[in-house]
This record gives sequence, structure tokens and C-alpha cells, in this order.
Amino acid sequence: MNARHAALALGLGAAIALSACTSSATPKPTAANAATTTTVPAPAGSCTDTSTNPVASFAPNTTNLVPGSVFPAGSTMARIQQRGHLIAGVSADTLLFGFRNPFTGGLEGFDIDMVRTIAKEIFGHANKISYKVLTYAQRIPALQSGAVDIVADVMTINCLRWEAIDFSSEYLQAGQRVLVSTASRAKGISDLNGKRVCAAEGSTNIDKLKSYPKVRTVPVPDISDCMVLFQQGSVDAVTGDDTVLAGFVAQDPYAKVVGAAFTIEPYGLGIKQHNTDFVQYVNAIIERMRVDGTWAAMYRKWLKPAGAVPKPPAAIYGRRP
Amino acid sequence: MSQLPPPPPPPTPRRPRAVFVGTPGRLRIAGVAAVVACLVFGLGATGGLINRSDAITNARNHAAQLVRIQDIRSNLTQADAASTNAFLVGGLEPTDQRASYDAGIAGATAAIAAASSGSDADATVLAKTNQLLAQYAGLIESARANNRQGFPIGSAYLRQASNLMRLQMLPPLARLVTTEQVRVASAYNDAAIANDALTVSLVLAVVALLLIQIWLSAKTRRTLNMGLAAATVVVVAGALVGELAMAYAQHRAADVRHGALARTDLLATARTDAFTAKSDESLTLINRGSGQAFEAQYQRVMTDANESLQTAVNPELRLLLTEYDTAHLAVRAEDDDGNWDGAVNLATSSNSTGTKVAFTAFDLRSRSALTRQASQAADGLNSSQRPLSGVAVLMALAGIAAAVLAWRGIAARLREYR
Repeated sequence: MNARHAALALGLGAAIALSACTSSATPKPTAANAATTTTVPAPAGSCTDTSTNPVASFAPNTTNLVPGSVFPAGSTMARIQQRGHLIAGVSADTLLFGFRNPFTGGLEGFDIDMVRTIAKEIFGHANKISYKVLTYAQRIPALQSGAVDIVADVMTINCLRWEAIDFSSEYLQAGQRVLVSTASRAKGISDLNGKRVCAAEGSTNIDKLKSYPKVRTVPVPDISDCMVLFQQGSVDAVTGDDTVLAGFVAQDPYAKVVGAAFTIEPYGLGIKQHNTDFVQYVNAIIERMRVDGTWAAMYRKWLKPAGAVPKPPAAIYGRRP
Repeated sequence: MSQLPPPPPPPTPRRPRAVFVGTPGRLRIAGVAAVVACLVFGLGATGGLINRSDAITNARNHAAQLVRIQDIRSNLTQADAASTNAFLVGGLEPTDQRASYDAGIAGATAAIAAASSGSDADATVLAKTNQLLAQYAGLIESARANNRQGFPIGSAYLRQASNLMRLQMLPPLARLVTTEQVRVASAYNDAAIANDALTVSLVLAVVALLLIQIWLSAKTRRTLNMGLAAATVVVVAGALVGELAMAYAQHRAADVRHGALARTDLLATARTDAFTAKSDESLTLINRGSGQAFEAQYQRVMTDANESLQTAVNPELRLLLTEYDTAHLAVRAEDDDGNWDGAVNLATSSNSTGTKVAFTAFDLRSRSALTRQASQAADGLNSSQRPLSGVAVLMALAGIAAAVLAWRGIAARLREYR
């Protein structure tokens, strides 16, 4: 049930041309974009480096994937290993990606499995992780202050965020859509003029809403607060990534996701700037996950239990530190 | 005082000029003046005592209202502490936590109803609290229903409920507590002012009676007028009784105010702060690594709770609270060390070193201490006020008796002119 909705929502697949990525990563610089949310260091607007492909990351370094290898002294990985646990910034209420299982109290989801794979590689144990639950707006500041080593929280890679943090290669692709009541006749975002549409502060979703000035935006700290407002009838629709909305539909039989995706959201793991060695190490792990079936197994487990699993997004490298 | 029997009237009202002319006339004027002085005393003294009695009744009512509002606050925070902690456990809600939540909600509802009928001035805030409480309980039920189905959106409902409690329900109640504290204090001030009425009327009456006696002894060449002297003695003795009664009532009331009532207020505040701290502990853990704001609030409210208990001179409860704080430190140490599961286990299990056991001990002991102090405060204020109305009647009687005695004293001199 849950996962079938998820599969529907995730129907975008990975076969979208890369040229399209720039359209979401760098929205048209309009007047509305200039007034971005204050909680996040400039998530929208223009960025200086327009020549580099936003999804391009640093080339993977497989040196330390060899069994028995030792991390070079002073490297980010050596520091994490010495500490005894990886500190990961995640969500605790995004069903399918990073959510607290109410029965066990533990965190689960696609993003959680991503960091578990990395922890297993560093420590030999997947649960050597200290989780920090973050709101969208807290993700970049947490990385910048060094409060977390890595962020795995449905985070869109874009050119502007590259100015504040580093990203791994793309590990999943989503698109922004809208969730409305099953009774609604809206067929997409363009039918929601004058309606109250909820989005999370500090997300690419709320930035994108600025290009729909007739929509009445309702900002909240956490996208799951949007769902509460929606269920209470305080907002007419919720906009977010289809991946996240699929999780909400699975929790509410009176909600549906409508319209085609109107952005493309390439997900990457966020890493502190200048920890290039860690990005390269993580990229090597993701590269291996793409080919050894780990990625496909995770996709089947969380997003699509039946039918063919799409190919993972192709990694793009070539960024210079 | 209008129902008091009038003093014996001057004999022939139709010829006032003849009545107040000559020495007998002046004697009659002196007699009337003495009667008026005695009655003024009776009136002032009775008024003073009734005022004092009213002021203490007022103080007692505001004190009772203060206790009720404190009761609402501690019940609300108890419910919130239980629901946040139950959420942390995950899975099926522990029955004891559910019972504690239910008790908190039931207690708060009852206290809101009692407080609403106790004061019209507070009714607006309390009506709003009642409305928000219904909303709060609805959000908690949604959180619970989602939780039972394994839907993580339950945590968003819980967050909303907790925010509703903290941001919208508790602050107006805290302001109401301050208002009631001020009302209690001003009722006590009124009680102190009541003393002045007695003193002023005593001084006026005694001075008037003495002046009349001095004039009379010069006029009649007799040293002592028995009637006026007796009237003076009655007035002074009556005032003495009145002052004693007032002093006793004031002393008792002040004892209650600085004793049982102050402790009731402090214990209730400490309990509210402690429950808030327990919620903060749970919320810090629920927010996994992003709960610094809740831990900061924990530190604040625990400091406040400790200060309240110190002022209330309750070393036993302070010790229990410190034990809870020590257990909390262990929870924080586990969590900060990256062992979230261990921290949650310490905060939720019936482990003897965990925070739950330590907090329950504080909860039980502080609850019984609070109940004891609250009933002591109510009893104390009742008993301090009780003798005042009887003494007030006595003052009126003393005034009348003195008036009769004074008139009779003058009448004896008047007879000499027949």
C-alpha cells in the first residue's frame, strides 16, 4: 500500500536529460527570488558558478574501499573513525526516507540506509551512527558548523547550495508536485491560484512557489507540519518532492498527489565544504552501491516493492576542489 | 448603625432655645457630645472589624483561586510530560503513562471548572484555556491514532500539541498566577488598613470624653463623673478587645500567608516547573540531536524549581529533585555520547537509575506535600477570620453601653438643676 503510492509518485525515473537539471537548480532570477527565506543562506537566486554542472561532484576515491586499508592520518574519515560514530543529519518524520518507526522508536528509511551503508564501511558496523534530526532550514547551518558529518535528508543538489556546502554524486531523483484532497478537482499547481499551499521553510519547494505569485504560500518549519495543517483543513494543498508526498499519501487515504512534476530535484548527500576527501570516499561507496545491487535493493525495499527497479541516476564527476 | 437605639432624647424638643440655654443647656450639649463620641467609637470599631473580616475573606478567596490556577498548571504540565514520554517509548503506550495523562487532563478540567466559578475576573482566560485544552487533547489523540498505525506524522501532531500547551495555554495561566498573587497581597493590605479605623475612633472618643470630663469637673467642682468615667473605661476596654482580636486575626493570617499559603504557591510552582522539565527531557530526545533549546529550557525550569523548593524550605523535595536531576545528567551523557537508545531507555524504563523512577518519587511526595499545605492554608485563613464577626458585634454593644453610661452621668448632674 505505502510503497505502491510511492512507486506511482516516483514514476519519474532516472532517464531525464541532465540539461533539464539546471532549470530547477537555478530558477529564473525574478524579483520574487531576490526575497528569499532568511533562515537559509540563499537557497534560491543566482549563483556565481554557472559553468559547472550542479550535479557534478568530486571524482570518487576508492583507495580506502580496499579491505584492511587504513584511513590516512588527519583525513576526515580518520577523524570520524576515531570519534567512534558518524554524526548524520536526518529527518525523523519523512516516511520512506528518514522516519521514526513508531513501533520500535528507531529511525528507518532510504536516507537512513544510505548513511548506514557509509557507517558500515567506516566502522564495520552499520549502527555506529549518532543521528541529529534536522529541519530543512537547519541542514546547511548544521554542516557548516560541523555539528554533523553528513546530511541525508531528501536534499536537492543545486548550484547555490554548492556555495555553502559540498554534495555527493546524485543518488536519487525526485520532482516537486502538489498534494491535495481526494475531493479536490485541482489537476496541478496551476489550478491552485488563490489557494493556501503549504511548504517547508528552507526547501527548494518554497523557493519554487515564488514563481506562482497567485498561490497563497503557507510556510512551516517542517513539511510534516504541512500535513497536519492539511488534515486540519487549514491549508488546501501541500507542495513538496513527490518522494516525500508519496509518504504522506500512504498515511492519509483522503490525500492524493496531482499534476506532473514541475521541477527536478536531484538528491545528494550534504557534506561540509573542504571535506573533499570525505566526498570522494562517499562517492566511491555510492558508485559501488549503484553497481553491486545495494541501491536497487534499497529502492525495492523502500520505494517500489513490485515491478522493475529503474536504473540509479548516473553519477557526474569533474568538479574541481 | 442606624438600627441602634437612639440615645435618650432631650426632654422638650419643642423649645430648643430653652433646652440649650444656661448651665443645664450646656450640660445637655456636653451630654449629647459624649453620647455621639461613644457611638462614633462603636461605629468605627465595628466597621474596622467588619472590614478586617471582609479583607481576610477576600484574601482567602484569592488564595483559593491562586491554588486552583496553580492546580490547572501542574495538571496540564503533568499531562504533557506523560504524553511526550509515552511517545518516546514507541509502540504501544505504557498504561501507567496513559493513566498519568488521563489524570492530568481530568484534574485540569476539574480545576478549570472550579476556578471559573471562583472568579469572574479570570473567566475569560479560563474559558480560552478550556477551549485550547479541548484542542490539545484532540491533537494528542490524533498523534496517538497515527502512532498506533505506525504513521510518523503522529510526531508532527505531538509537536503541535506541545507547542500549543507551551506557547498558548501556559503563559496566560502564569500571568493569572501573578495577578492572583497581587490580589492576595492587596487583600492583606486592606486588612492592615482596617486597623486604623479602630485606632482613630478610639482616640476620637477618648479625647472627647476626657475634654468633657475636664470641663465638667471645672463647672461642677466635682473631680469625677462616674458615668463618664465608666463610659471611658468601656470604650478603652472595648478597643483593647478589638485590637486584640484584630492582632490575633492579622497574626494568624500573616502566619498563613508566609507559611502554608506561601509554601502552597511555591510547591505548585515547583511541580509545574518539574513537569515542564520532564517534558523537556523527552522533547530533547524526541528531537534527536536538535533539542538543545529544550535542554536549555530544562536547565532554566529546574533552577526555578530548585529555588522555589529552597524558599519553601523543603529539603526532602529538593533532595528528590536533585536525584531526578542526577538521573537526567546520565540520560544526557548517554545521548551526547551518541547512545540515543541507551538514553531513551534511561528516560523511559522502570530502571532504578533512570529518570522515570526518580521523577515519580518526586511527583508523589510533592503532590502529598502540596495537598497538605493547601488544606492548612485554607484552614488557617478560616480560623483567623472566624472570631472577627463576634467581636464586631461586641464593639457595637460597647459603643451603646458607653453612650448610655455617659448620658446617665450627665443626667445625674442635670437633675441637680430641677
